Amino acid sequence: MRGWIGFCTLTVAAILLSVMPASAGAGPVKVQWYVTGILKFTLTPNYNTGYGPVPAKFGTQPTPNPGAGACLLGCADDFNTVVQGGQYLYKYAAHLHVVTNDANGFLVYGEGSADFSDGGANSFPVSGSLYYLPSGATSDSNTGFSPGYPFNKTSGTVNPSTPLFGSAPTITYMTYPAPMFTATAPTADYYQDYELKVPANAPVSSSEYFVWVVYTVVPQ
Amino acid sequence: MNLRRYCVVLAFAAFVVAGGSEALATLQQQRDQIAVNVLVNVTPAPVGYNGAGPRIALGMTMRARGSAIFDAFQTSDQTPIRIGGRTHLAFQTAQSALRVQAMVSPNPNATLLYYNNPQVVINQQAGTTASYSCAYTITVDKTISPAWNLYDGLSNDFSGMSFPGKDLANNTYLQGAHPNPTATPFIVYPDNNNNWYKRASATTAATYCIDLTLTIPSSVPGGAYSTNAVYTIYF
Repeated sequence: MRGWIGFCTLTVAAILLSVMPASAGAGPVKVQWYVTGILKFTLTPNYNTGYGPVPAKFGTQPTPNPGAGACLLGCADDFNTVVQGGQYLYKYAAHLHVVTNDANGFLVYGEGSADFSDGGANSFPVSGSLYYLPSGATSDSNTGFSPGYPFNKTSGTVNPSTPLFGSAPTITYMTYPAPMFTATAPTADYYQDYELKVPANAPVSSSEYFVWVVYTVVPQ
Repeated sequence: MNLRRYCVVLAFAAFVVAGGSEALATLQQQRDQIAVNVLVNVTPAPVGYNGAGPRIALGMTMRARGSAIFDAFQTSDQTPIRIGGRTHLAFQTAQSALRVQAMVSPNPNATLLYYNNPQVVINQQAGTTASYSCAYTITVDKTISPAWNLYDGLSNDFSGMSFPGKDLANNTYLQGAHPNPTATPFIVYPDNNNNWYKRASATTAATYCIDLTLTIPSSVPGGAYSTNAVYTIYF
């Protein structure tokens, strides 16, 4: 029954349209359309050979010695075994590649999704422990004492709220923190080393400590 | 034989005199080294004419560039046909994460030399000088001979657009005691022939309060700047 009603309505509308006079006129017509925003963000850990941690020292730098959880062009940034109170540089930690068609550029935010956790009862703060600093695409002159900028623990909503070693969380922001980078061009690459300052009172654990660092790219 | 012994003693004396405390430090061993990160968030100095276009012009330029990509897709603007909604690019945010991990093992020397605060954050306007009382403490926890020597300095000038590390002065004094009459600029390690400054020497444990005084040149642009105050113990 409903189908017949719809069919009749459409038929009447078609007949009426066919007998109405077409309006004629001349003049320019503005045509505009939407352009789909493109934002592509690629995050690559351990982006160059020679990646991995070295103890902080001046002078000749030791050979990086990453943990088993790291691999070239992927996996995790694994500082291997570190000591309480120790300070380390992780070379070639992260490459951020951003492409957008927004001529305004974009903002990059980077935060710890939680404190360092061993998956159990032990933890130590990510703020004051983990830092990032600019590196090169294929060369790196940093030491563990090169100036870095802190990763802070996010105040956004983290999902899942409990850190999981094998699952990357997401962060939902009501208010964004201070940006890590502000790009005024539609495309940019950022190369980062990390620094880890292990608190002297970080509990020794038989389990691996971990934290997920979450990067968010927002068009301007 | 006596002449040879005399020469050896003379050479050693010359070595000590020439190198001073640094030479003595080299006779000792470096036992530990820690760094306090100093992060300075600079707000720009009040706007003054500097020969460039005023700030509002810069803002207008950025806006014009921002709309250019859309304008490029428009025909002449006479009687626009609005398909609906606002004419802007609709973007999504993008998010990605990486895991940082480490195994923490015990360090018997972790309490030999330590700070109470791994990082000092200073928010200050360019063109101003401000002091920060006991911004952090440094503790040497060594109570037996031989005597220890504590050296300090900055790892480098402030990063970013960079301004001199010597613009950061310290007043280092025993916690609970009165500060020194004046603060002295930090030495910057690479600018000091890779030498640290000898800060203190003792045979007992000590905790030092470090007051910081920062002068930011008015020409420093707004942004984040960073360096490390490095402390090294020898004995």
